[in-house]
Amino acid sequence: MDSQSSVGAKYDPARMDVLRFASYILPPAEYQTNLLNFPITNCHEPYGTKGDFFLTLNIYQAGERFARIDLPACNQDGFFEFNFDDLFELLQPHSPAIMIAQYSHEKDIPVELYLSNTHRRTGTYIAYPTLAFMGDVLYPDFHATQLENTLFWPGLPTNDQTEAEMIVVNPYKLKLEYQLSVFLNDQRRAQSGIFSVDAYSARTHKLSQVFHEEYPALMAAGGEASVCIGAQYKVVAFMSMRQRGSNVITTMDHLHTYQLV
Amino acid sequence: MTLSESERLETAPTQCSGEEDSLVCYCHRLTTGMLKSVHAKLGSLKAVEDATGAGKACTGCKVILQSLFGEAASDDYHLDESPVVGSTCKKPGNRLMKGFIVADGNLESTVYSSNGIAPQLGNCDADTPIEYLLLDHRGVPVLHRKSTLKTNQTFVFDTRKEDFPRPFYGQFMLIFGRSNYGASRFNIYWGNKNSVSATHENSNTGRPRVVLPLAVDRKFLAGSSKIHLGLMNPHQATIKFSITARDLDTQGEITWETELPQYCSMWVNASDYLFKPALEARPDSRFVIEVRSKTDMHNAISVYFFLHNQENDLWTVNHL
Repeated sequence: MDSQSSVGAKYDPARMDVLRFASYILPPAEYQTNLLNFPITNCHEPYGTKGDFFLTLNIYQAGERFARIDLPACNQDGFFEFNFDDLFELLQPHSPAIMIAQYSHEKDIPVELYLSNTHRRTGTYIAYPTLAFMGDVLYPDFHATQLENTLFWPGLPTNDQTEAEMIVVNPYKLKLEYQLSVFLNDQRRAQSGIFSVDAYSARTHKLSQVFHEEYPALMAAGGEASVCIGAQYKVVAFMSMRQRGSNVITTMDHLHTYQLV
Repeated sequence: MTLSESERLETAPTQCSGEEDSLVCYCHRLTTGMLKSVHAKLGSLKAVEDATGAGKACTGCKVILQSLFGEAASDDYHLDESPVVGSTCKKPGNRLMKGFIVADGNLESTVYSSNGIAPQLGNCDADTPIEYLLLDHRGVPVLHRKSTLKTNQTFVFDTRKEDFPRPFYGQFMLIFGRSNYGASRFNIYWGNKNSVSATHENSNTGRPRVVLPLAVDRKFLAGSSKIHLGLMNPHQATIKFSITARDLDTQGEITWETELPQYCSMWVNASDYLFKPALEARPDSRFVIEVRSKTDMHNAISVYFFLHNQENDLWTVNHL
């Protein structure tokens, strides 16, 4: 649980903004997860070059919060570090978890947060971002005007080698419902039924199962297809690519928002 | 018009025969077809909202209702100030995206971009002119093509199908002639026979200073994973930048100053040329790699990091 450069920073609400991030934590039996974050990456003009930063991690499994970690504060010269193996005894090792991070930062200096993961058996490393959401207070206007409740992922090479999986994280205190769509290049679009994910939980969907009727066409298309998720609120979703031969995940990245200009 | 409780539960995947099955209102489970039917009887969006509750709960479908029925939303909503949906999905745009390409015979790259329209928006006609360009590591164009991407189609560019000398490192540029509603981003998949790894284009990063979130020590360096950096300058001027191996514990640094001319790219074996000398100098330290552009946030170097698990021949990639 070490963090560096605890410099006696004092939390001054007048100077701070709070961003909430949500992310998926891979099953700890398979992956060793680390958080390593350097606020200095955004300490530059025009934002500002100095500031204090505070980070609190809330870890949930199966909808229940079982850990809250307040990392020592740091300034622009320090960094946050947390090894999730410190929680290993508390976790169900073969189940995923989700993290909701509350990142308090100097008002003018934005922050971002990645998780690093090492596959225990092979040593394969992947990193992926945590994604900002709005906290427990929902702002439907914003979700609607920005189409934040709809995300897409271009390209879908699901085949004998690679299993594509959609991971949906629900950081809200309400159940979240959503629907998946796949666009094929022959102009067809297939849609799933309505799925739901419980509060403070995550669900993983193998797209070969969700779109099992279209799967032969997806295989034949060689990736020439795209996926979309539409949800009630701003949605936190990741695309994962699992290699069937080694059962190792080689991609975990966020979906994209629609571009509204 | 609300579906029964059993229909609210998860349903099996279904083939969508058209736009009519698209769910618009998640709160009341109302599809495009159901809403259109009510609108045909009642004649106005407000009447549809009053009768069905659509647009009145989470309001997340307001923007879609307006698009479907071509009229302003019925309450004090802010669409008039910032109209985002009109009667057509076409809007002029010139969205330019750039990403790093590798083609070395083992690791090859595929670019995918989607012209998919959010299902709730219904039957948009969004055929879009596109233009794409591939530059080699010296910034010299290797190919330049124009095409049209039909509504909901996925664009594909695969280096395996292209005939240029290997190894090839460079950048791919894609211009979408429309910049709203559609999914105008591109993903790059880097793959070999054992793995595929993807992330998205990353040109105007806004990040002049980036750090790879991985602490490398002697044990990691001796392991099977090797770290490479794919660096590209997507801008029109030379960028001076530094690559620093930064000692996490002492904050000591070993820095390599360099530069990339406009549109040029670089492939760096970070394990051998950055971490190895750093750990030889300070064997008990842990190092991270920082890339710092000597410019403002709008003109920074783009950084992709590639890890090759040599024992299993698995590649993983992301950007900073």
